[in-house]
Amino acid sequence: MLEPNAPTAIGKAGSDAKPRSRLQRIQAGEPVETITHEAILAEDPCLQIERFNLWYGPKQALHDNAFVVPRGKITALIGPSGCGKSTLLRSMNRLNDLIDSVRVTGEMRLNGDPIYAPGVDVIELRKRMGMVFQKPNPFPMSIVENVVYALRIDGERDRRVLREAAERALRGAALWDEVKDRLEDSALGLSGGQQQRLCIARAIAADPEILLMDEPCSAPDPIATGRIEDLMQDLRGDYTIVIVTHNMQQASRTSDCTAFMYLGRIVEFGPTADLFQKPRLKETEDYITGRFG
Amino acid sequence: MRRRSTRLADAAARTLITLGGLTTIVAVLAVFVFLFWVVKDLFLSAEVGEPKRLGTGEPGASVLVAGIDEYRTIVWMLGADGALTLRVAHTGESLGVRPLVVDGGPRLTAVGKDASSGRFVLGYADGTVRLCSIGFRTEFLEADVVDAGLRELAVDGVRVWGDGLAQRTVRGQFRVQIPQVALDEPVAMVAGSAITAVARSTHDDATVVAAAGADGRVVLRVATKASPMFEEEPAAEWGEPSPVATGSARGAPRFAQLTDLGSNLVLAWTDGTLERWAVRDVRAPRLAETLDVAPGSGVELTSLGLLLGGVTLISGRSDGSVGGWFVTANPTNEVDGYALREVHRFDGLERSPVVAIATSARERIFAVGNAAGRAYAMYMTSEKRLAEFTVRDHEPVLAIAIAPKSDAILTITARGASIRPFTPRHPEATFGSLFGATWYERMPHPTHTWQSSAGTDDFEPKLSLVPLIFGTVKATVYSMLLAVPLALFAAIYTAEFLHARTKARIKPIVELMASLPSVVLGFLAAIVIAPAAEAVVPELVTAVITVPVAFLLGAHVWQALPNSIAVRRAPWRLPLAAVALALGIGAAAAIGPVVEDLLFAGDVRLWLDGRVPAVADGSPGWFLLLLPPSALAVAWFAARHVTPRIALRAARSTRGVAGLLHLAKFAGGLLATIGLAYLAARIVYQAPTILDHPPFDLRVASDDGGMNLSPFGTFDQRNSLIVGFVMGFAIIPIIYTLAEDALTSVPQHLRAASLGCGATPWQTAVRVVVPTAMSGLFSACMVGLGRAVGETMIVLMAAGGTAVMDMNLFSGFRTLSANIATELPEAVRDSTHYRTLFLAALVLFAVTFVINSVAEAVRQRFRKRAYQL
Ligand SMILES: Nc1ncnc2c1ncn2[C@@H]1O[C@H](COP(=O)(O)OP(=O)(O)OP(=O)(O)O)[C@@H](O)[C@H]1O
Ligand SMILES: [Mg+2]
Repeated sequence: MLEPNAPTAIGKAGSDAKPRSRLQRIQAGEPVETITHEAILAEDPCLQIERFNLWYGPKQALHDNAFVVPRGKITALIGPSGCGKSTLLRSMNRLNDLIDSVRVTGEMRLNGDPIYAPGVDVIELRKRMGMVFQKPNPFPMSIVENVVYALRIDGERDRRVLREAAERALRGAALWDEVKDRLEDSALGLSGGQQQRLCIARAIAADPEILLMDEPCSAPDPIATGRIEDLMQDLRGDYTIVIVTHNMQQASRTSDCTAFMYLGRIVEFGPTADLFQKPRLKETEDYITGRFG
Repeated sequence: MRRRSTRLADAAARTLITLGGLTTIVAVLAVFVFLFWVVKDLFLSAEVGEPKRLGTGEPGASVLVAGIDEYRTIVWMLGADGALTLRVAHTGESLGVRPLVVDGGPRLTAVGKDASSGRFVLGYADGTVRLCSIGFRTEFLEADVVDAGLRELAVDGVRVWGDGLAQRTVRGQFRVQIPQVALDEPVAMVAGSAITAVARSTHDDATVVAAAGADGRVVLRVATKASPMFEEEPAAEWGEPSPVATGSARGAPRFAQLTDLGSNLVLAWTDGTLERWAVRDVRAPRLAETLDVAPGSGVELTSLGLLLGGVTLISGRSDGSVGGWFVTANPTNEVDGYALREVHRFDGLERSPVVAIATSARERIFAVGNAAGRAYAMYMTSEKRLAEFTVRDHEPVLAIAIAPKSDAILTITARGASIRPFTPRHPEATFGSLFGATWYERMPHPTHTWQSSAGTDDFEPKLSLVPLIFGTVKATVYSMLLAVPLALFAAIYTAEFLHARTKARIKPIVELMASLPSVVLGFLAAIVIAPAAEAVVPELVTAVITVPVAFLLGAHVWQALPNSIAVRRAPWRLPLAAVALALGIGAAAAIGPVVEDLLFAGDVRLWLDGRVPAVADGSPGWFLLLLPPSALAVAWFAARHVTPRIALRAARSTRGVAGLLHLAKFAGGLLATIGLAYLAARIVYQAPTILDHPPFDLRVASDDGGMNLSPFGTFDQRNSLIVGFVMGFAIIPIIYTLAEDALTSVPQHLRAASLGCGATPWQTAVRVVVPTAMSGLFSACMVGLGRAVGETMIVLMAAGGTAVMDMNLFSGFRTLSANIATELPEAVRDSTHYRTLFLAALVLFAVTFVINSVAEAVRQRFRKRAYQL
């Protein structure tokens, strides 16, 4: 895999005479246009990102990103490790606000509502999004309390409402049959794969407008991974999903659109089928075919 | 090579760590064992040794009273013939006979003894009495007078030396005990009638003497100068005799005692009739009560003694039972408001008339001997039977005596005298007296009392640990009440809401607070805070209400702000909270006097005391106590029934309108809380009056000697409020630090998950972080608790130090630790007091040990769980 921060063989190989590749220009810190396929632009955008920059202290992690997340589609973010996929995802629901050193410029919009404008109620904003993390992180509470957490913090007390929401979310996360008899047990007693699906159930319980998933299938167990992939197929259409993944097959199997990121920039973005079969850029092809990365 | 060195370092480290751990464990165990070693003696039982017999045959059946000197070398016996016989205790050899009657003069008919000085009064057949003292003078011989005979003496060996007896001491000195017998001039009491009973009571140079004659007359007389202790001293000057008009129908009293510093004259007859005369004014004796002290048919009163201190009468009866009697307050007695009652009873002794009683000159030990030759040594207050033995051949005991140091018991029978070594150990300390209620002299009921010393010699130490334990609990409860919420809130705030940089600065500062020596805090509390707080009591009470209200009000006003402002000005919330705090305090200062007028009739300290009619209404106390539960009830009701409706309305209107609705709800809730608390207070306060009981006033302590859990009562300058406040500050840092660590160790991904779900940081803290860190927080509180329990200096300096058993927030207390610190330096080594202080230390040790163990166990569990996450 390419070491993003170290000058690589590519950089050295390219002599001054040759036109420099896009990746080399990115490494040199030059601004590079994102290649966005026209098919994407025709989609109805759920989330829009305009000229978004992010710094961790002095270090810039996202460069001038422009991006849309089509409504009702699964969008995959791929790219080498450390290229800023998680950072971009976390920027969408402003979880990066928690890190003191973070500074941003640019704007994002969720269904037209600004995310970074002054005066935005971050809490209300986050309630409109669901987030699933790489490592399953259920709360140390009962299974059902985990699922209805978002409703609880909204002040919902009605037991019936909570119960129904829990069942709906658990069914949605294909977990209901496995846990319906032990709803009051601690969530920590579930297996890793079950815990991840529980986290998905928690994320969809409050009917978010968009679901953000950061490598949700990184569990080493292929069966568990398979189930979560199946689950995403079930969710497709009902939810707008952004998913970060390292796994090319997974991206090509599960997503509708795919964006390839490199060193904090979105290099190419298009429908998954197009991107994987006939990428516009050679660099994308190299990455997809595993020639680098 | 390297492998080997690593292994070596490994082994060394392991050994060192094991050693360190073991040393710690051994040290803790050693402390425990040491404490236990000192304490265990408290619970050893008394012992009486093998008897040593003096010559048999004489002194015959006529001994009235006998005694022994403090080194147990000389025995004296006063016979009915008036002869005082002195004998060497080791050998029985005679040390001479002193006549206490005039040759050809009246016979000796009665002997009385003063309970506090041990001096006597002798009554004669012609109706006169003479004050008398029998004692010993101690001299040490100079080296130049010591002759060869003395020099040959073994240690403890004795030899007659002039008028006295010389003994070689352990240090090789020669000590001479010289008998000192003083006999004052005769003074007429019941002229012409033989005296049957006589008593004396000496206090502050005045001696009251009471004598009963065979014709039934009883007379009191006061000697205004000290009766002579030594032969050279001047004779007493006597006042006029004053007759006691006892009913002569019963005949001559058999026993007489002057109790309670000579203010009561007790006359008793063999049938058990006892008359108590109030004789505080000697010239006007009044019969206070008549009772039967030997109830039951055929039971007779066979002896009557007076315990050290001159308060408790010891009655010996023909059925072998012994009783301890003293007066307690009794308003139904119209003469002097007291009643004599049998507080202690010693049953289960052999059924044979108790004919001899001896009392100790050091503690409340007494000994009785019966007609069947059985003798018992007992401790009055604890009713503990210390020792018992049978004299030779079951001869009736004629006289019994306890050596001045309570280290021997002398019994006299017709066959002669015998001395038994006696080790009472610590008879006043029983499990019951240390941890239970004990009925001390003149108390109306058993009490838990700690009072280890007093000015007089005949004072009985009261060594109940219960008030000290109670004080410890009181200090702990009040300081934890302050420290736990503050420290936990502060920890939550720093862990969850502060920027990492600020946190890195604040945490060391709070931890620095812990390094403030507690003696400095105690000093501040006693010298600065206590006097300052004394001036602002109503304001303090008011602040407890206004500050939380100010915070809540601030929060509601914030909610009422338009959204855009609220979000943009979010960083201002902390300074605004400070403003709310200042406003709350300001409001307290402003309305404090008004509250004092409304609730406490204008003077809170007078109200707390509750003795003046103007402050008779005790319901404000209930009002204050019921405010928090009322607030909870109102909040619960509002959350269930009001908030959902407002939420419905709010959904249709702007944030500002919703905020105003909430503000209105808050104001209404506040009024409702006050109203509810007021109503509930009136109801609780007045409820007992329905059954014609006095109202339920929290300021009135129950007088049954138990504890009083009311937080209100008389105001002291050094009070629990001050200690709670200052000690709270002393334990906040440790709770804060540990709690903060526990919160910080909650994995970040849980916070991210919660925030990702749209929870506010506050909701995240309360719903996810705190429950996850719960056991860590709990163990932090337990460690703080351990600190509070053992904390000494602050309590010592700021708590006043009275060992009371009430939870009164406005009075002081005495804790186990402060008590040890104050009293151990002055406790006599190996005394009961000393050992009891060690017991206090042991209790403290055990409590802190348990608390810390629980804290550690919880922490371990917490660690395991945190590992799972
Ligand atoms: N809290 C942080 N502070 C400083 N730099 C950070 C922080 N988090 C991430 N970074 C840096 O930002 C860059 C992007 O990180 P990010 O986690 O978004 O990468 P990623 O694409 O998700 O990688 P991976 O596939 O390994 O998860 C990396 O160089 C990383 O070192
Ligand atoms: Mg990542």
